[in-house]
Amino acid sequence: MHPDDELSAYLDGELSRDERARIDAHLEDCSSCQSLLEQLMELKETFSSAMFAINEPDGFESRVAQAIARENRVRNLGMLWLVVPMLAAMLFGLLALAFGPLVLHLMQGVLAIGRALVYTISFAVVDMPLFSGVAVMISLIILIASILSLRRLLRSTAV
Amino acid sequence: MVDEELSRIIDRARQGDQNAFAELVVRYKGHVFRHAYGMLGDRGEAEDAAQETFIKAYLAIRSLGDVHAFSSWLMRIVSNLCKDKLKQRTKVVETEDMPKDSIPDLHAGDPSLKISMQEALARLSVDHREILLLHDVRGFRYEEIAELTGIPMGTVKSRLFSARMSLRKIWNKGEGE
Repeated sequence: MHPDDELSAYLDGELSRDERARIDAHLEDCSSCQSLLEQLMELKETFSSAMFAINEPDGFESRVAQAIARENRVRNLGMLWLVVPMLAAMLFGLLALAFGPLVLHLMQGVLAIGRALVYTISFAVVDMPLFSGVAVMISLIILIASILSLRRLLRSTAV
Repeated sequence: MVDEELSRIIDRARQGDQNAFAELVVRYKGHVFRHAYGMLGDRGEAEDAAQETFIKAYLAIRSLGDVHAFSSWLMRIVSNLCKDKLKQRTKVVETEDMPKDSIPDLHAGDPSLKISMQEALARLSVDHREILLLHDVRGFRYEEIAELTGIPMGTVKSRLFSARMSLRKIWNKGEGE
């Protein structure tokens, strides 16, 4: 039986001492394996010589350097998208710390005005139902007219 | 084996030194390009693949654990990239002698014409091309190839023999024997 895979490994020096001795003994008696081994050796030599004759294109490393520089720019831009929201959040935090009491005071004022308005409107509705009804109707008519005219305006600009 | 100077360069590149990485490109460009050319059979595509390999390596070199594994790590990147590119090819020329994943060979019309070694290589399957390039051109040992490709040692041995026999058959046919 011919040692197929082993013959290739023998050629590459990948066999143990015992395996090598076994192949050596076989080769002494087998002319077809001797011939195959010689052909494989020659083929290996021809193949590696042909491949080593291939050279990379001129200016290859400068193109790689340019591509890496481009990649670095993209990565830096990517980092910017992280940094900008972080800075915005920090700025917001600082503003909240600096002007927090003032903003709270303003919000309390707005709340008091809102509460007074709701109180006044509720009394006006109870005391003057006709006036309130007319006011609501007029408000609704103005609102609908505004929406319709806005739609017409948007359509005419789209055309 | 990686010499001491090269280990230092790889280590510097790993720490973000761009000049050290540029030095690695100079040292390995030939290996990477030859492998890509052997796998793809086209200079333009091989250049793109080689360039992509170095960009991938540049972006991932910080994750490289052992500087001595740089060479096989780099070859794994280029090999996988070429396999992905071959998968993306939509047009596959099938002939009786040609495996499905071989490179279409425009010079294969007349069998009496002598073919070049690159043309003979192009008619092999991807796995056969890969193993021949890794062993006979890049010079990796069986153990390194097994680790790099993720196949058992026994498969490396049998696949290399099978690849050589296929190449021998194509080469001898192309020489008009």
